[in-house]
Amino acid sequence: MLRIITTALRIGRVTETLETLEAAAPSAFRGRPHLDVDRCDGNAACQAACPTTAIVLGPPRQAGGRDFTLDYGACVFCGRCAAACAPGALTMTTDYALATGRRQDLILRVEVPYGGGHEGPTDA
Amino acid sequence: MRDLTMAPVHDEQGDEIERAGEALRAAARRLFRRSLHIRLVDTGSCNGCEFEVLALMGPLYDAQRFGIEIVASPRHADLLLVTGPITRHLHRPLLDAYEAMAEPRLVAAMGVCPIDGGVFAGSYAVDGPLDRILPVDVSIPGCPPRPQALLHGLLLALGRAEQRLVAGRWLPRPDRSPRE
Amino acid sequence: MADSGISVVGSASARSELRRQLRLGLGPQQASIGGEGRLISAAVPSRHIADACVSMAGLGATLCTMVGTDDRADGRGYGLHYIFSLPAADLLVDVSCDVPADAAEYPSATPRLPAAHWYEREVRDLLGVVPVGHPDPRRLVLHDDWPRGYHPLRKDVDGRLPPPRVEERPFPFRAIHGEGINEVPVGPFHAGIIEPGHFRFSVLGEQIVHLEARLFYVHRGIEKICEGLSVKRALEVVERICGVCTLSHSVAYCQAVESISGCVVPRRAQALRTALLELERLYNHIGEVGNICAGVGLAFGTMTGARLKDELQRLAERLTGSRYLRGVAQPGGLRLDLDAAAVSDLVHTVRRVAGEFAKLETLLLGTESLIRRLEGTGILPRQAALDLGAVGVTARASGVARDIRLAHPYALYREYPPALVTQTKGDIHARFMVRVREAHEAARLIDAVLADLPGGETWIPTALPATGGQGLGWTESPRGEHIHWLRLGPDGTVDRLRVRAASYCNWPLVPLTASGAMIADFPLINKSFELCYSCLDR
Repeated sequence: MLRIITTALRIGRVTETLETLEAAAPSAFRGRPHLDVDRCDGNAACQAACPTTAIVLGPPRQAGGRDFTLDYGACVFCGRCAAACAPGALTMTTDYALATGRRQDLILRVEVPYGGGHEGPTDA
Repeated sequence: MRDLTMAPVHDEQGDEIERAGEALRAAARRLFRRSLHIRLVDTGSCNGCEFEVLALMGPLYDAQRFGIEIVASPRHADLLLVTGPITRHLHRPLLDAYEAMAEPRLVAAMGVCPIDGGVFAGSYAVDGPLDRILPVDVSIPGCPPRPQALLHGLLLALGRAEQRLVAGRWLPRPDRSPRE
Repeated sequence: MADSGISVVGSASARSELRRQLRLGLGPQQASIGGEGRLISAAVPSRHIADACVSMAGLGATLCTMVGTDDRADGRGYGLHYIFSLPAADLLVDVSCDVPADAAEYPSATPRLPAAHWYEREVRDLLGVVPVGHPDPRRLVLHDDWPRGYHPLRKDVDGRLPPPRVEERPFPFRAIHGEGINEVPVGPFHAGIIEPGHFRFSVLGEQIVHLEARLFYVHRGIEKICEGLSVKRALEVVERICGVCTLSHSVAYCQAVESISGCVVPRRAQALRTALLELERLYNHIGEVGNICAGVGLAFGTMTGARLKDELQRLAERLTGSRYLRGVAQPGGLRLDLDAAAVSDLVHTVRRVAGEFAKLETLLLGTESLIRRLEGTGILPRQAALDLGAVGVTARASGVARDIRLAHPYALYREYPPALVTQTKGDIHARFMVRVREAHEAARLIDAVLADLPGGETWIPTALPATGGQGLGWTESPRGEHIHWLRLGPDGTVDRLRVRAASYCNWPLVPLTASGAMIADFPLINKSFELCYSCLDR
């Protein structure tokens, strides 16, 4: 027991500061998927690749374009959407501090071009 | 302890909408001050989230220094931390745990499973999502959320962190300035 | 145990010798014997299925999984597949039969082969096929408020429709009654950070007279969820069966797909799979050693174990983006590669952490108060382990020399075999020591495999046969061997996936080790097994 105590004293403090704990995640980390609307062509390959209903692209709007919804609350951070995105509009960032008080704050709704493709969850 | 506030967010109509998390923060400040006693309830998780909670209570992260404590009974808890997609078999035990908590009480959904069901959504054996069953105060995305993400979610519940996602948009970290 | 006399692994002569013995053993009633590679299939009439199983056991085979299938759409009724392992020949044998849809019952193998007990109950619950003569008629998977006659794995049952709740009948626990005996229910939620399950103790004072566990609280219906999904989509579900065993399940599943496609995974991918599977074993074993210390209140052990485990999980996150090694494997190889810097990070971090773990080990083994708590408690006798088909750390700690990396090598384990780590006493201390030694072996294997890491691709495309197919994949997870039995349809989607995790074999044994112990010792006994509820329940 004495050796345990002296070892513990020798090791000292290992606890990280809050600043360290708030640092960025490693570059390989699959965090928040980010949509660059300007690069999106609305082909919906991301939706087809997604294993949950996190990504939903709507039918073509009369005025042009289509709805794009990304629900971070349904995302499993697998990265298949980004891997499937040919124009490179969807990328996995390393952002991980995604907690919200309201459920609806987890849902991104934007308008993207209509580029054909799926209009409902399908198999990849 | 600094309190971090966000600038108001405007929606499409230009109306000023509620400052994100403000109500939650105010409640947390008033009711829980500086400590949060947490009861973890696994409603069918893969155990990834459980291990991340265990890690958070470990020496590298030491959540206890923020006043975050894991308690053995819902009767001792301020916050019910729920993991898992709420299996049919654990639906009733989940309600029993919530009902055993004294007011004021908060509920947090940890990981995709209680928020949406994730890959288990729609299964014959799974009820949920959590917000169809209990009022949810904090949602912490991830599969599983890494310990630092969980810490952010719990500090948010304590009113000691800012929300970064608002209406799905990622906001830059605001300037930290002392308040009051 | 009959000596089959087969010494050459998987060779043509070994296979024909086994076929000869199977024909002899299964009798003239057997219908057909086929298969290729390491898998042999033998079909028998359903009335002979139990006899066939007993014959396999007589040949020295162990039952390693059992699958029920709904083949009514093909006019074949229900299928039953008992998979046996013959390590001496590195062969796996699928002994199967068809059960008519209008008379869905068959002779239970359990009375003569106790290891079949939970498999047969599960098939009864989920498919409605009845094992006649099974000693335990109680439900296993579905609890008390599911309607009678509801069998979710039948193809005509909509997996997305939860059935109505019916009035609950209390579950008939086998409690002991008598003067001074109290029945103590614990769970499903437990005081600490642990998965849910129910334990019903019969205690006399503080001493446990009897324990029964009721599990499957974490049943999410994973096998049904996977039916109809593409191979890729199902992989995302498979990776979330269990956090601890993420990569072990993922690779077992990928190997099942690969066995159907017949593809040859590139060597670099096999090497990295091996190294990362050992990394998964290493961080789990270190964490469990810490958890056992938590069971006796030795905070230094718990915290050091937690710290070292976290360092390895942070390593996993740097290398793969996930602390649990999600998103790593795919059929055909891997979804990523590791560059030279990453490989160096892996090698050096593992070496450093293994060195620190060795120091922790010395300190813990020199702490008398710890060792005294661990020795002589929670004993699993070797015969019980053998009879009920224990696997993994649990089996090896009770003197059963079984490790599927050696019995049926996969990835690069044929060239880099791990030492077989066993103990004899079967107590908490034995399970503790198996983990400690296996952790060192894991670190050694990572070093050895990466010292000779070949170049090249980490993935090749897998072409699936146009008619679909059936395959088996397996890994030795940190808990023990996982077996994935997979059938793919002609459209390339999952027709049936049966996941038999290590914990499935070991959970029935845990209550046996509690008798005579103090109820306060039970958390420690449970921690010494450290089984996954989520792996079992799916």
